[in-house]
Amino acid sequence: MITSRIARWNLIAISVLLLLFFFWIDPTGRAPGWTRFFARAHPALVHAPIGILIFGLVLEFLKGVGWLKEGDNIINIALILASWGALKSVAAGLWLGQMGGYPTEVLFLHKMIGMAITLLAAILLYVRVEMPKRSLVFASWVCILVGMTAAGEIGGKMTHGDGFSSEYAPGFVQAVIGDFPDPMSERFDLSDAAMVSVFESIVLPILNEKCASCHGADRGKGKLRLHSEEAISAHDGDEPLLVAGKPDESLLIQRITLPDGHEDQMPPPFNAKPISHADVELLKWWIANGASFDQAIAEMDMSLNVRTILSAYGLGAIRSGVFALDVPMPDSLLVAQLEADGAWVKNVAESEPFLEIKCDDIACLGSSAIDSLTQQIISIDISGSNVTDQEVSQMGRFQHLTRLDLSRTSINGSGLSGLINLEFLEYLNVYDTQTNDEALEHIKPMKSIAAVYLWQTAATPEGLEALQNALPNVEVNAGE
Amino acid sequence: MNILDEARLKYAHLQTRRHFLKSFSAGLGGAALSSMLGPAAYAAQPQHPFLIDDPLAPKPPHFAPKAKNVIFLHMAGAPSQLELFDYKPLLERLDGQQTPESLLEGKRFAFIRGVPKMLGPQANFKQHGDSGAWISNHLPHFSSVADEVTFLKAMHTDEFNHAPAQLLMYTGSPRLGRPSLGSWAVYGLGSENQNLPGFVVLISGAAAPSAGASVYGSGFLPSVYQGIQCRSQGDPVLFLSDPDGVPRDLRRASIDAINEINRQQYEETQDPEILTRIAQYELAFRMQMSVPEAMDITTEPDYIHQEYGTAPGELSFANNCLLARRLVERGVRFVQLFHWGWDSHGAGESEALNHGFVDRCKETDQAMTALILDLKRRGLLDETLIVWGGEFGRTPMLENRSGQDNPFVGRDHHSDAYTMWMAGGGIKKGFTFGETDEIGYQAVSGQTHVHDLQATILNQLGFDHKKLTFPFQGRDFRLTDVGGRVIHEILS
Repeated sequence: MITSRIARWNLIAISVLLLLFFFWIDPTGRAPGWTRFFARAHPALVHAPIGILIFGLVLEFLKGVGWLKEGDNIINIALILASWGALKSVAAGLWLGQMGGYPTEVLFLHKMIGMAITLLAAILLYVRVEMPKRSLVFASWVCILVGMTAAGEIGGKMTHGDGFSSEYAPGFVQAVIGDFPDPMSERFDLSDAAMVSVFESIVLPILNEKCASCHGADRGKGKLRLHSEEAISAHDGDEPLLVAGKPDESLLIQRITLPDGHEDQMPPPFNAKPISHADVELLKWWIANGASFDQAIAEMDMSLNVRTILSAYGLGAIRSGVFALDVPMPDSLLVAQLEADGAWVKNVAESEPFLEIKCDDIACLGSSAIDSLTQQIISIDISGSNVTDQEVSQMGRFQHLTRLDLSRTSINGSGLSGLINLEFLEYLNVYDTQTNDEALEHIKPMKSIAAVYLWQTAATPEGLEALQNALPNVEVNAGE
Repeated sequence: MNILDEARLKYAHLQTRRHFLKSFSAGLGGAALSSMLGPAAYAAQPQHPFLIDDPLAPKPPHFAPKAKNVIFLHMAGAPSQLELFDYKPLLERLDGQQTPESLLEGKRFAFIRGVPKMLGPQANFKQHGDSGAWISNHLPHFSSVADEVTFLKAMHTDEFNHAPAQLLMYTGSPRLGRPSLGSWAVYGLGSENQNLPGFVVLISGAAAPSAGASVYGSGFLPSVYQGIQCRSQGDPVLFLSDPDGVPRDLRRASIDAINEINRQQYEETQDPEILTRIAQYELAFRMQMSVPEAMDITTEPDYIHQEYGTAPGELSFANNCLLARRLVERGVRFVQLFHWGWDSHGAGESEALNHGFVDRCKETDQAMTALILDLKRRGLLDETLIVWGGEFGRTPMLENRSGQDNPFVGRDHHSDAYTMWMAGGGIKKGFTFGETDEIGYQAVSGQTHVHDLQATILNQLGFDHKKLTFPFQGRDFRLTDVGGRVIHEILS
């Protein structure tokens, strides 16, 4: 028979011990060796009081609806057992928390709820024995049930990651709890590879996730903080944390690539979030490229390995040159008009705004639609046509042109002067034309030019040599 | 395939099956009913004008392509990499020695039985170009363009007999029934030239490829995408010319009548193969004018004939190389060449490494070199992908057919390691990918499967090989089946 004396002393003992644990087990301290085994048992220990509490709750319910006459004492015994079982798992949980690797805020909430349930079980016993008011007893049970559900959910989330419990829940359940597993594509922001810096979008999220619980804004173990550019730059240790261009000489990489069992291995082996091989590769890549804080993804050389990792995280094709521009989709009516005027028009690719056109006759260049499509047209093939230098000189209006084929025409190249400002023009084909040395001068200032085809033209060997000397990295092909 | 195309196709498939069931069970009743209801009932049937669209109309690929055209030079019969590109000095020293048991354990060969002898290189090798690529004295012309190509030194395949290996190379499967590489390309991209087929096949040598026309067939794709064989001798396309006494306008009128009937039939049955037939009649009619022009190499200047080593009217690999350039110039997407006679077992003179094989090298060396240089100076090489190779390679061992020495020097089929090369179309210049061991028996690094090659070719044409699919028998099929990795290492 549980007397009021037992209930009172039980409440006092549980309260005192809870306070003791709370102050004794410092959340920023390091769990002593002997406690770690006990701490790891937390997930197992925690289920005994849960089961006992549910047993008590069921009995209380059966009593409440009148199906059970006896049983008060059994419920009270269950509450004693539950409060001590909960106390034990609180201790284990506090030590487990010390071992690190859990997100601090969520961990704090989990601890508070766990301790509250322990205390509540003892209080409930006291209430049942001393002042058995139905509403009070009922309210306590509801609090315990809600608390257990919440603590369990948080615990599952911390151990198995976000959305562990809801991942396979039916749609309406997910809609209510609104808790979805993070897809890989959301881990790093890779939406704008030309703009976002590698540090901001890749390195910092890794460091925050894997290192910052000990080496972050809140805690700076070993005088190391990795949560921001300033904190990393401010690091002053015996060995350099980052050696630009040399990942293997950087302390950061050395410590996270030590073999299992090495005492200096980082993150510590008892950490619940070990660093993945892919993350190590990404950090190495960043350091190999100079460990810059503002270099964009597109500016860093990418090995196949890194590309594969990043594409798994949702990195699309890196766009460069004209493809990096934001150009609206072409108006299909204009395209149809251009086709009706004799041009062969083709989309460069699905969901690209860019067009390539091919014409046998200059009539198509006079199409009423073409001037509204100058942004989209990146390739013009007018080879073998009646095009003259006059039309060529006006092609500067296609400011995004990358390829221009004027071969097998009767131009002498004087019109090429109109192309000097085309900043994306890479390919210029004037083979089998009257293009002369004078015209080659217009090619020299072309900014992006990569290949010029001059076979069967009026250009002299000296002129060609001068062009090649002026543009040493350009393929100047005269069909030698 | 975008969603609209898919919807059309699904609809068409549904229609054919439905039509069959309808005509089977309720056809007569339906006919009676419709005649009672009058023409209004027909008019109520949905019309699908988009289905009359030309299946060869140009289509955009998945992403911006590096190559627009492909010329695939297939050396049918499988040339020996050990006499051309994969130089193995150690093999020279091991010449005539018995092959160690460890190399033969668990291996199966097409003809070698028992313990064969090792066979040293039957050629002299030198390094060429700035890239220092090893090329043998059998290819004196090609040596001069070593810096234009990427060698894939560690190709491998799953099959060691010609027909299945050729099928695997071109259709992604060693068994019959799948569409070929060129068909997939034209299915994905359409044809740039409406007067010429998008996929042309040119065959030289004593025999056609052993897997037959299936290596350029359309499989389960609409047959409008199959490769069309053109010939450098006689009629360029068989059965294309009008019969004597049939003028072109009469031909036009009869095709119009036939197509009209076909169109009516199509509206009733929605069978996409009828569209193919309409498109083929139309294309054939246009080709009557354009093909003789494209295939006429007599108009080429003399220096071109000298460079390629061509002689108009002959059936030769050289003529086919020149034709390939002319076709690509005219917007043909995919030109597939086959040259037979590389099966150098040594069982007869024509297939000996020091006789027939040398002849094959002479037949191809100059022309394929001229093709690269000619495309290059015309500004076509950077968007034309040239691929050279056989269906597999050859053993470092001397073939001993059924345990007996062959009368001539030869090597057996070898599927584990062989060499191919690629040029143009966004591929690195003067580069070698992959390496074999000291005797060229197995890959050491950069092993490349046939499916990887296919994925890379489609990638250069602007396709994700995993997304270029066609639904057939309840699932989406693709060229690379369930394999294939784009060889990013060789892309420039």
